[in-house]
Amino acid sequence: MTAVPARRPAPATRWVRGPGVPWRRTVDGCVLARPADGEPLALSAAAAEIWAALAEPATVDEVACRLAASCGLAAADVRGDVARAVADLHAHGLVEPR
Amino acid sequence: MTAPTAPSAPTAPVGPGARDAGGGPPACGPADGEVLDAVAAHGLPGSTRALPARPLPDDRWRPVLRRARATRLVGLLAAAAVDGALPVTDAQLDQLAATHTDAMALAVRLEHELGVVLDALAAAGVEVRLLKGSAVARTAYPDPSQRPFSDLDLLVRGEQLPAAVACLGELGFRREQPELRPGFDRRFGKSVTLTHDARGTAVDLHRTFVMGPLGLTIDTEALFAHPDRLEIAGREVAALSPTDRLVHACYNAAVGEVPARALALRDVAQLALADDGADRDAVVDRVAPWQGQAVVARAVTLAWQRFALADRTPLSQWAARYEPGRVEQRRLTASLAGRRYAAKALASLPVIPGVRGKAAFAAAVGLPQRAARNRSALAWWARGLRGARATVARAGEARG
Repeated sequence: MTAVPARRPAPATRWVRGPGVPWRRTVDGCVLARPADGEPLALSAAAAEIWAALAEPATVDEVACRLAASCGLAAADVRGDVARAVADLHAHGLVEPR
Repeated sequence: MTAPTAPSAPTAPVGPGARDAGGGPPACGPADGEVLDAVAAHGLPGSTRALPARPLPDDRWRPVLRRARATRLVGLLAAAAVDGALPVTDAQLDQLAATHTDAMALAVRLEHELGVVLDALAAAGVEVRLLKGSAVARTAYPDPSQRPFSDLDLLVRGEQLPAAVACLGELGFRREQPELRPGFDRRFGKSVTLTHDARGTAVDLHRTFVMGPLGLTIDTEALFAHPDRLEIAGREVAALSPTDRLVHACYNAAVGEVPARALALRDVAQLALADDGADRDAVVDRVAPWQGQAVVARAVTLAWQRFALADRTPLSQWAARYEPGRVEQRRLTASLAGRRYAAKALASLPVIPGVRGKAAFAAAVGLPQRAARNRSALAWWARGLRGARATVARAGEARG
């Protein structure tokens, strides 16, 4: 499958995991099956934290705050990375706007 | 902080090679076998198996990791390392992480495939119950990442087996072995394995739990009653009830391979120590009509011994005391993996109802249709020859 090019999500959009995406924790992150074709995708530890945060609907800012708090950084420092990761997850059909 | 990383491709391809290679798992030394038994026991309450207090030297670590992968203990190995119960070096942790990710990639791929397969079977009117891997991983283990699996196992009613095989054929699956004779699978078979070459996945369609007389005496229709409803890949999936899950794990561990696989025994211990499936009376009552008490007793006893479980439960105490009758013991012995095919076939005859049924079974086993013969003609004849020799030898012993 060719993923749709990732676009930055709108700030107010709330995101949540796509329904029924099979996934597993791994030693250093997690692995998920892409809904379109079942192709496995490995996430790093930080991206896995974003995945964990999106078990419930959340904006990019909310996820950034949570991630920043867990590693002792300012939310502004991680917001861009979170936005890119959410956009990538969306492009693969793994998260959706709520 | 490590910047969040966008999803990336898996580190290794997922394919048929991820299934256990034929010829059994790679060997490792006795001391490493002890390590793997302790890994297999990791997290079990009451186990007195001890993991090494220091990282293994690399020349021991490598065979342990290889064997853990081949025997699907890599999930428990990862859990032991992440929990700090098994010290590992940074390099060993990297190797373990890659191996575990491969195993989990296969698991999620199979769960995706499960959705496709279940949709197709439902459209064909085939009712199934999910067995083993995904069902046990999701219900019995504290984290499903501890329990890898390498295929999908589904229970199908015998009369629906041909429709199920045809349905999966339309999805691109092909059966590994031809049917011995038309109608054999749905009447006497244990399971049909189908593989999808392009996707590298396999589905086992089970009619019953094991080959031989023990499998033929199971009331398979009863297994469809009271299903456990699980949510997998966004859909509701019917699995065996908790009690039947434990019973199936016992059949798989006690009869499926000799010696029993550590993961199969871990499933037994994991389910037997769970709150919802280990009621002794429910388990024993369930298998009594099938004369399967010896199976449960063997599996539970082997699990308690293998993992040095100090805690006694009503089920483990019953298992330790249970003494099977002669017929039950004979059926168990004949059903064990590794027993001669002829011995299993002979032991199966008495439990097959009716003269016609016995004749159909004997004809299929003794004179398989051309496709099955051609598949492995030498193996069939060699098997028949071995069976004939064994029969002659036993007759001689009896006369002597």
